[in-house]
Amino acid sequence: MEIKKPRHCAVVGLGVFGSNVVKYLHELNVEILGIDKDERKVDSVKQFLKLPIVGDATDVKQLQEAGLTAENIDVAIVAIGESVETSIYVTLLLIEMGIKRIIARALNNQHAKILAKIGVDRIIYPEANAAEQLARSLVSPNIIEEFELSPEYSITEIVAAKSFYKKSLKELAVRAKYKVIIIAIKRKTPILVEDTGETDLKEEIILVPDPEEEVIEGDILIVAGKNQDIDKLRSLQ
Amino acid sequence: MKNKNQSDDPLEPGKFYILNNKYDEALKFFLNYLSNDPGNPEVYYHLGLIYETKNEIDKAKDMYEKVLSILPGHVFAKKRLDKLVGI
Repeated sequence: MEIKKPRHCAVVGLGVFGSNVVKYLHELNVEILGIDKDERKVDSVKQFLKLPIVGDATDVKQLQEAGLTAENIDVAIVAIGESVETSIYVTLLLIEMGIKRIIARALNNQHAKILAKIGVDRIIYPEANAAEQLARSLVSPNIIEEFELSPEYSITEIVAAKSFYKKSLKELAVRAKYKVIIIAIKRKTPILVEDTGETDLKEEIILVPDPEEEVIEGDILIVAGKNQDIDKLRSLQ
Repeated sequence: MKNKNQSDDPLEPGKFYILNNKYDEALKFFLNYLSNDPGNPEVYYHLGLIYETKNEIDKAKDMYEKVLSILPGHVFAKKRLDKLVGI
């Protein structure tokens, strides 16, 4: 099923998580209706909101009057972080109102299970995800970022092994030897800033690198493949 | 008489190594320089750049913090440190 880019989103709850969602959506040119009962929280992000609303999201009449309806909103994000009960209640209201797509933030495992049962389209568990990523990065310092494609497959950023330096991708034959694909290389290249004469670093991403591209010291390889194959590549020195 | 093309910047050889991706030589140069001039923020800044390109992020952060403790207005060190801590 094709998921169209949402043009109109509602973010319910404008704490740290909700306000960051608002900022990133705004950067992506999405029109946002933001609601929180705390006026200060609404004020802090009102420049990014098409419709800033100070109000009670548990009041269906207030939501509808504010414009949060199935006709106006493509996706609603329940970012409430203070109360599990309020989050569940608001999520249920949004489902009953017929909002097409609902994404909800879970505060704990039990909360996540209930959200799944009531039928939200996607559950976000930011604390657990960040904790897992932190733990994995501490145990495997060569892993920087990881994106799970399925329980078996991932896209992972790994620091290029020393044995890769000054060798081309063709020579390394990573796909044949390790069964993973290098989809991009992240590189920091030293540059001289003309105006100031200062040395700085330019960050670049070489997408779908050419087979003749050489790996240099400090390169970060973005690889896709089976987790066990990525682990083998990661363990190289 | 001084050659017009000759640089007055004593850190020039180290910068040259960095710009040519010769990080080990650059590291050796700046660490050696540091032993003679331990309070020079530019030396710490360039050490930060070297460690960052080598993906030794903790060491890079230490170096940028050292720059800012000596010279709080160092725009480039501030910018790099902010990027490394994810601001």
